[in-house]
Amino acid sequence: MRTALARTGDPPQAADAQAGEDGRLLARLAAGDGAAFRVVVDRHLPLVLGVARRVLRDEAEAEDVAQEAMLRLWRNASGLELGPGGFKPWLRRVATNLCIDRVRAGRHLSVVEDVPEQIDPPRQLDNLSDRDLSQRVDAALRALPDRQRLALTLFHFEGLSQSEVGATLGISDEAVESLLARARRALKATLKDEWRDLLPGDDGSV
Amino acid sequence: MNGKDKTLTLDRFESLLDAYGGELSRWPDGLGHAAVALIETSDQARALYAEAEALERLLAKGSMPEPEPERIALLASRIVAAGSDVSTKLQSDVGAGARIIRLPSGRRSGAGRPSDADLQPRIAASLAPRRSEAPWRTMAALAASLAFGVVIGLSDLVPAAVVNVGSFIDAGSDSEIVLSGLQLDGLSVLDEDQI
Repeated sequence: MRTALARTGDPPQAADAQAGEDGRLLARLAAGDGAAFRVVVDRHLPLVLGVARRVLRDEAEAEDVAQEAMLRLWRNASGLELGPGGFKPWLRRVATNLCIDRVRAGRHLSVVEDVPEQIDPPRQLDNLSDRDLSQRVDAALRALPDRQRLALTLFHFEGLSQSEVGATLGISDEAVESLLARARRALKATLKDEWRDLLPGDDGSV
Repeated sequence: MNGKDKTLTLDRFESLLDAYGGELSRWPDGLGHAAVALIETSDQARALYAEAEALERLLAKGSMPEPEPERIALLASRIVAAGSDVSTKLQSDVGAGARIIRLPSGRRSGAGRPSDADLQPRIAASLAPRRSEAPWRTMAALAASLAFGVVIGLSDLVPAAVVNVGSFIDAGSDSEIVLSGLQLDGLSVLDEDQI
């Protein structure tokens, strides 16, 4: 059985080059260079928007968060010190925190409350299109309690480590593990027919 | 302690799978190596791991579809437009050596709810130096004051208002000093109007 233990990352040279380029752009931002802001927006907006969409699962809210994150970058450019990762870690953290603020403030709750707790009666997987399946998984993710969904999104979709998730949410490593475990167990229960159909050997397709 | 030296019980393995999923490289503290060892020796562990992998594949299908490029481009333009006043302010602040940065106004959502973004521009505006507003006004006021002093010096007709100001100042009370200030302000306005 193949186990997912190997992992690759960006080559160090590429990361250094990116950090240098971001450093030059940062200096231009601090001077109020609108052309530099346009470059930064074009380059990093998909990342910021992606984080916000996955955490909030709402297009309009996510776009507002993305806008605010990018503008915060520009407003704070003069006092910002970038790490080796350039703009990306800073933008990811700001976008995540903005999303958390929205969730905590209840601005996102109305969207979550629109999702029924019970998903429609399960159907056979082979009768579902990918879009149907995607919508069911999305509904199950939305139905998770906010903290569980945040932890799972940051760890699973955003690739943050356990300690990074804990630092972002202000909780211990043990609490992160607990939130993640409860989130996955809830998803396994809600989507049990779907994931069981994805087990190897049932139809030979996996 | 090296993660390779750790051992896992089946219960602990299942708990870790529930928490961190089937991508063992992402497990903390090198526990992934212990998980591999368990998977290689236990049928139950292999079955649990297969379930976790199936859930991973299912979650991957729950990823939201990427937005249309046109929508991203539209949002990018909106953000750049919203940042135009940041640019103006930054350029102004860099020139004046100031560090107060005004937040942009006009958020698409949350209308009607006062926020820091709404209040901060007003606070910043009230604190920011006004030297860049109209430097010619200061120059003109100084020139007018100079001209007014020359006229007064050459004329025997001293305005009654100035005499009154002098007498109030001599009296020395707080209220009178306030009154003298009002009189002087009135003169300044008069000077500017005459220019």
